[in-house]
Amino acid sequence: MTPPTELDRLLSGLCDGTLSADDLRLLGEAVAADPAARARYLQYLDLHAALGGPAGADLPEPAAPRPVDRARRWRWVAGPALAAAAALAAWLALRPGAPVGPRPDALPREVAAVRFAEVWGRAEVRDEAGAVALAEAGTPLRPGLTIRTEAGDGFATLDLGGGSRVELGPDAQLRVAEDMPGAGLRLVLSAGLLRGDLRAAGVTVVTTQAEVRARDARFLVSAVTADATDVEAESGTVRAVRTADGQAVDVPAGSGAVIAAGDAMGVRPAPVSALAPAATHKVQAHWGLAFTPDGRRLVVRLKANRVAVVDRSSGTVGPGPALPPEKALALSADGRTVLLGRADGRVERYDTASGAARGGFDAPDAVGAGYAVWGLSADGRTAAVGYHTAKGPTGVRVWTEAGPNHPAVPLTRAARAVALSDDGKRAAWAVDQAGPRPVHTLTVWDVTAGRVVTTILVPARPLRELAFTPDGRRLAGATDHGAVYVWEADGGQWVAGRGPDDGWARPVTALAFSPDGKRLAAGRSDGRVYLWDTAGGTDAAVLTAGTRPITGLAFSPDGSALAAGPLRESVCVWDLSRAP
Amino acid sequence: MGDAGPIEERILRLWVRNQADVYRYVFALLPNPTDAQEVLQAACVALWRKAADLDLDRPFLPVAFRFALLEVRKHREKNRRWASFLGDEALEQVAAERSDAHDLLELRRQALDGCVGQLPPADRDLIDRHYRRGQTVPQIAEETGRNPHTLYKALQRVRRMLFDCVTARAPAEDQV
Repeated sequence: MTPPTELDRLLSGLCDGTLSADDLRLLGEAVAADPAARARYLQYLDLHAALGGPAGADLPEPAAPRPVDRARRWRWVAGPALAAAAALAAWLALRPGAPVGPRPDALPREVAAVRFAEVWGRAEVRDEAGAVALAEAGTPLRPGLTIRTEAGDGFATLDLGGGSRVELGPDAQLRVAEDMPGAGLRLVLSAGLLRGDLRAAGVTVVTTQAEVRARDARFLVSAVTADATDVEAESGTVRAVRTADGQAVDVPAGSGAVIAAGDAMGVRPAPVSALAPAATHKVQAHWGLAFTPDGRRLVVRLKANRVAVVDRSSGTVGPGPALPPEKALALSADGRTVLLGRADGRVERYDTASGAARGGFDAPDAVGAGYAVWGLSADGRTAAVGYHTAKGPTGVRVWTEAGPNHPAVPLTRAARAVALSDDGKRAAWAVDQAGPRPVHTLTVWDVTAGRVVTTILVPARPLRELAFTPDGRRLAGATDHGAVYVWEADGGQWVAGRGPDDGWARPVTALAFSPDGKRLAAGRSDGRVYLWDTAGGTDAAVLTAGTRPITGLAFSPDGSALAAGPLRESVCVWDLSRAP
Repeated sequence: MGDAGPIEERILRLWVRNQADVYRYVFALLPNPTDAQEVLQAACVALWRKAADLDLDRPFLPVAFRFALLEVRKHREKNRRWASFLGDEALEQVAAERSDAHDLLELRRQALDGCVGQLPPADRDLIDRHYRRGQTVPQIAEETGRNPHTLYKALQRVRRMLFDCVTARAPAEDQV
């Protein structure tokens, strides 16, 4: 008998109805991402159902949707660099020790309710004796414990009671200390980022430079080091604290959120705005959309071989040209080219305006694959595909108009996402390994030279979507639990990142950079789009297109508009000149 | 459903003959028996209502799968918690692959009976109690005096034995 794998354990738990919500999600991710896992899932479930299958999944009740709290947005002041592979390995190598038992009787009364509200990725709690336990939602906290979140993808929210909450970003370390006995709690941040909403008395957030305390409905912000200088306050908010004299600066509580990092602390308002769409077009955006180069029309790739064309000035929606009855694979970013795949393995480029064929290439491995993800250059002349077939070829290949660029790059596991830079000179693909200790990689490929430029380690969660900046210098990747990262395409250096934004993370289903590369739009599975200023690390706006996964997302060529199409719902277009 | 005409009677006969297959298809998309049964009933009603439009000279199972998938989508619309397990895109992928793999899975199902027959008596008794008689693990634990945790482990082991046995007996994917 074959030894049980992690997948077998999950499948067995599914059949017995004993899977936790996290395990169920993990199984779903494996099934979605990995064709081999999907095949085993189908065979295992069918065996269970054929036997008689009494149990099955006992799905947890959905969490009540929380109102979007404008003050809860992660704001990356100066994000910590993504941990190197060695650091990640060391971190992952930590094994939980004896459970850290709650000692509520040791807590001052004011902080007796402190506990983890949410944990994403991995977070650990270490007690005074060095014993380590994994943190989970509901785990209580007491003075003396130290919390550590995993580099890359670890997030934790602490409920401090009385409406106060703090959130810890990845690779953060926070010690819980008691203030004067009975007076309250001190949260000492020694690494990473913290975002806090302090509403009740008795909680002080401390960094090496400053501390923030909530008292009498006001934040009191003061320096804790003698050499700190300068207090910058604008519009009733504090941007950074460098007070020499220790004089407190007060800010009305509730007007913003505490932001703390190693060398800065402040209270900032949350300027995230919810923009209404300037136009809505009734066309079912199935699998991608693009503005034409003049920005006047939107080309929407529909199901099968059809495209629709939206005239933005009149708002009319017209059918595209008649195309051969083949399967549409991808739409170029300039909206001019759609790839169709024939049953014989031939891929043809077609002009979305005239319907004329523009040449193609033979890609039987890709077209005939059980699973394939495609990327196109902006002009549609270069195509990349990641493909996988059970017991068949698995790899990535790039074609230019001249033919196959280089031999296929064989892979042991399917590429889950593929992207090409607008100029077609860089390709990137993400490969993930499922399991309890997953390691995911992002490879950047030099199309011209046919070599790997860099391989980036993506800890904890698999990447689902990829997008290059228009100049091809940077590359964004998004996970299926809402985290988004930006790397330098050449060196692989981590540039920026943001975590799951509202605590109930949703998969990112589409990514697009603005033409200047400064803004990144992330479309999620719940029909919302987050517009993110990658330079400043702030959210610019939250846009609601519908309720279904965003499957098409594009900026207009001048960057003044953004279009998003949720699956089987109308396409929305926003006027970004109204966004902050 | 009203009085059954000739077409509706044919539909019903086809449905009765194929509903176990449709159930297995639905269960792959909604791995919960209650939800799967609910969808199965809805698919049956939908087929009945569209009976006049159906071409019954064509294979019935793909049609039934199509109706079942529509009902699965509707069910997921009403029960969004399923989206936390499989997203919409993944669901479509699983549905397509489950449909494509049906012939292979049917051969595996046919091999299953022989594999169950090969089990040691204690394992066969466990499978019989759990699957054929519908006893829950706690019920079996109470009747047999065994630890429920041990029983869960035993079920996992037996299912894996059956899985391996079926894999060895049934033709591989590239042979069908």
